[in-house]
Amino acid sequence: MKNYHSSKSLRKVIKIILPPVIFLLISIFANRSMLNTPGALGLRDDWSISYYPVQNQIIGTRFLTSWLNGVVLYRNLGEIPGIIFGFFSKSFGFDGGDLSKLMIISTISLAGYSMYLLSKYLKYDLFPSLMSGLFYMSVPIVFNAVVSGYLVFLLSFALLPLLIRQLFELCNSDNRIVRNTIICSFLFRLILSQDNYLHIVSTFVFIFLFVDLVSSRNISQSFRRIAKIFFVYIITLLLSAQFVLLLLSQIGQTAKTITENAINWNTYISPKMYLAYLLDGAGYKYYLASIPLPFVSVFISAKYALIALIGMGIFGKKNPIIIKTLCLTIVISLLLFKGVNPPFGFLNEFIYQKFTFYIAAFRNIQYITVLTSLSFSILLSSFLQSFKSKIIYIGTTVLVLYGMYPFISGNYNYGVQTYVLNTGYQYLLNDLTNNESTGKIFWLPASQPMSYQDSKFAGNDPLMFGNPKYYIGNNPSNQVEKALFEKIYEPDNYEESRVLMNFLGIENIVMRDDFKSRLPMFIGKSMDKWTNELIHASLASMSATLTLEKRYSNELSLYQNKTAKPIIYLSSNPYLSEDSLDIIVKDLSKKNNYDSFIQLRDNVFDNSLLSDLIKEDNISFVKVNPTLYRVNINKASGKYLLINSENYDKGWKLYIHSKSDSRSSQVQPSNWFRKDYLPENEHILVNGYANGWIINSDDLLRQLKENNPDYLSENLYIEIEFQPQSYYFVGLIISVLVMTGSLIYLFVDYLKRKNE
Amino acid sequence: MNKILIQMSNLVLYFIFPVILVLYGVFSFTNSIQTGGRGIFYLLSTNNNQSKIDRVGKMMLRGNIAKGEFVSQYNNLGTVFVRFDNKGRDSIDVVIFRIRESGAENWIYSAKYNTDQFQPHELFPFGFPVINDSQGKTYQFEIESQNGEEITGIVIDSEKPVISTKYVFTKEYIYKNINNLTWFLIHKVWNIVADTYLVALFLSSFLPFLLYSIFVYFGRNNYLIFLGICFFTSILEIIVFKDYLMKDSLPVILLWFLTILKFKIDGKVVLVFSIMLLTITSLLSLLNLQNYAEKAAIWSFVLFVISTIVHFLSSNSRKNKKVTVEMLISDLSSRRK
Repeated sequence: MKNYHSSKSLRKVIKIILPPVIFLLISIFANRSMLNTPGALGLRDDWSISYYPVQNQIIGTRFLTSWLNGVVLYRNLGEIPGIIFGFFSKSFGFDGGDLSKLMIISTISLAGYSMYLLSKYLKYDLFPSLMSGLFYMSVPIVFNAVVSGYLVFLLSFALLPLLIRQLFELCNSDNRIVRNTIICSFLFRLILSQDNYLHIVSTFVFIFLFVDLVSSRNISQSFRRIAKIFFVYIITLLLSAQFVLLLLSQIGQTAKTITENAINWNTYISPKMYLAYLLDGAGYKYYLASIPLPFVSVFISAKYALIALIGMGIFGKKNPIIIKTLCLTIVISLLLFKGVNPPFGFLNEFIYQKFTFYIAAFRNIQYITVLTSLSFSILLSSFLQSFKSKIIYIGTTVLVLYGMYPFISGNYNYGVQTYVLNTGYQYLLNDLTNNESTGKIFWLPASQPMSYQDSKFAGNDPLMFGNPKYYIGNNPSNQVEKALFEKIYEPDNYEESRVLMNFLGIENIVMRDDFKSRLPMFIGKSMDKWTNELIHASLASMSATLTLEKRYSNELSLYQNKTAKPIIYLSSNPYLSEDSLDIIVKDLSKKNNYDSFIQLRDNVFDNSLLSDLIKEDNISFVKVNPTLYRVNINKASGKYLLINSENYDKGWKLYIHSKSDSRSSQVQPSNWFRKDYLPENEHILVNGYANGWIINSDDLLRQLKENNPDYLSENLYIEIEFQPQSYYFVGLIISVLVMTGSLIYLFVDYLKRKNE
Repeated sequence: MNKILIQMSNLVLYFIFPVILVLYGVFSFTNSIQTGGRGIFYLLSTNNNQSKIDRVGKMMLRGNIAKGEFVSQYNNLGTVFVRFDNKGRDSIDVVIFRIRESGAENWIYSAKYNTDQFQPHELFPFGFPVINDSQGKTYQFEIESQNGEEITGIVIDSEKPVISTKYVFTKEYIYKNINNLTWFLIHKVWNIVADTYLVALFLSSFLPFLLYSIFVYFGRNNYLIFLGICFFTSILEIIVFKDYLMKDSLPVILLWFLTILKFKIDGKVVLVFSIMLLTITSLLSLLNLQNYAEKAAIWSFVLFVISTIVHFLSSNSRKNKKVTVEMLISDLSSRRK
């Protein structure tokens, strides 16, 4: 009897453990070549994980700030994986190689397993559920996400079926509603690490609720489900409160950015319906490109046969509401996939015009195939459940395995590149970390330079991200950076490059010859024009002001720019012009006496405010964190133009203090929601991108003394702060409180149930 | 009163409505010819058997030259069409096209073209100054890749005709004498008959009339005939038309809806046809007929949408359904017996 019980429980344990082990082993098998390769995975389009552990630690602390390297981190919901990577790097010394491999293996196997769990929850048998998981973990979007480097996207993709499962459970059961709501919210929040999933999940949820409402005979039950899901959204938003508040505080700018970026080169590039059915994305062709040309037709044909079989899953008798939801999801996702191309272009054109915020999430159209992939995976279970026969099972298994062909190569058919950085990079990183300078670092070649040598493709820079210093060199964040990125390829105009670098506050330049710019591919100019030799020629021409600080290897050099403007300085002689940036820079390259420039046509302010400016070198400042600078002007008198070389944003405010605060680091905002900042009309755009304030120190000191008779100093203590950080920080506190409260509830609930 | 009403409705049903549909056909056909840029004063080559080109189906890599040859069918040669394929990838190559008379040393014309404008499986026109006395002469042409690479290059498609030529005639030449006019008209008519696009356009324009006639006059009570017609016309659309256009398929979609309404057909029955089209897509793909595969996929999707709509609209009245999948299978098998 005892043996019977133990063998029964053993079988139960095996039944629980076996499926995740199967998916893990498949994932390891699919990635076996990569695992054997030393170094980090060089992902082609987006570098999600940095190379050195210290970089990942820095990325892990990024969630504390709302502003970094010249941009508002309004979309940065992906800080959770960053924190996890940071934790692994700090605790176990994991480098980019370990993390990227771990991430790929775990997310792919998790994708399969979570789809298996969803399928099991929908009462499908073991075999259909396993096949469903296998199908989901090997859809083309997974392949493309690995090759192109959307690792955070992959994590969200893997968790999506788990969220759907929890949402179904929450909707269908009235037991443990709070617990299920919290679990759903946690999963949802994790999934939102890739913000496009807000739209992806919401589209599916909305369709489900709609179908439920239309098909249900119990309307009150349907409304109850809507209410439950509403609370999931509320808690998820509270768990993301920092970003919600930051978005709201910057709503105008956010809306503009989203609208402007809604459609890009990658949207609707040439979506073919026959590719959509194969679940392949439009922008990235890595999946199909990985199949040898003579076999493409056979491969596509086999995939189609499988999709046709899966389509028969709609005839399944189980889960009618969910099957209907899947039908509608497939209709909508395939429709959106076609984009503005015929024959449904007019419909999508309408959606784009009227619901730009919605369509913006699908600017890379492969995102929409997530929903198609999810739907087909569940339908596969339904099909196998409905047509139980050996021939169907064997045939479907063969087709699913054949469809996995691109994965079976072990290295994504050479789609994924691996690389090892030479030791020079480690020394460079050490030097940059230990360097106390607050100046910016210009990584050359610029503008998504990240291409491996002799590679047609690219991934984001492996060293730039997670760098301790303000870097320039990825996507230009302002017009001056953009001009410099192109001008640096023109040695004949090196004087203009010098002017641009000086006004951008670039103190150091890192030149990497193991990288080539990717820019030409996008702008369609001749590749020959954009060579590293041209950059070297420009740098050599600037030798009077630019010195070679250190050569770390043949490919890696560090230069110092002796004439760079500090991040914060006082300007007494601004160059005023109505001309375009190009002309201003040309003028300034011939005139050395100006210490700033103001484009009058972009600035509406009273010019007379700039009269009688005083030059003053007696200024010191400290960068407390990316959103806060403390400035001290000794013996202040007269009128100054104070320049802060962060990108101009109305969120930057200048406050006058009666006491000096010498703390060089703090996390929380310094001027919580204070309104007594310098008036907005004295905050102007200077140097084409930076913040400038006109400060009348005599007036300010007089006011200080009037308000505070004890104030005897002649010094002016100033704080320049990115004000939305206050909203962000309050949101962060809310998020932490909600998360802590939820975790405590789950723990207490668990204990209670255990005792019962 | 009732009699008058019946007569009136018969008049509308059997006369007015068909006349409107015929008029629609005439208008649609003439309008499409005008807006489709089908000019009058040109001829297309109808016999492309004497033309040839090498490197068909091979990726054009940097420096590769595809050499072609054809015999000019008429005078006034003005354009050479070559069919390309980008293999579902984005081609960013630049090719040089050059042409000369066979045996001549110098090229008559040479120009560069960006391959991103080459549509998959479409003939691309390489235009050049009109050659007046071209009839019967053999011409050679070359297409040279400048930057072609394995993924971003372009392929000369194998779908026939791979090469075609166009001849441009002036009004003055045609109206100069009766001989010229007669000659041109005969060849133009032959051109129209040989042009599948125009035939397809004709069919498409008069399709509403044809379908309506079938719907009104034949097989009123046999849903199988109607489903067959619906499916057949969908297949016809795939075969006949080069591209899927909403306006062309609208009458067929309408026919599907009318059939579904008339016979109370379950949405899942339509889904069966959608899946059949997916299977056809699979076969077309296997035969490397990507253009047709794309249209079949679109039609499969259209039927899937129709099925979903019907499924939703009739979800609560399933019991009233007359035609279900089970019934369809049973009817089809009984007919076979």
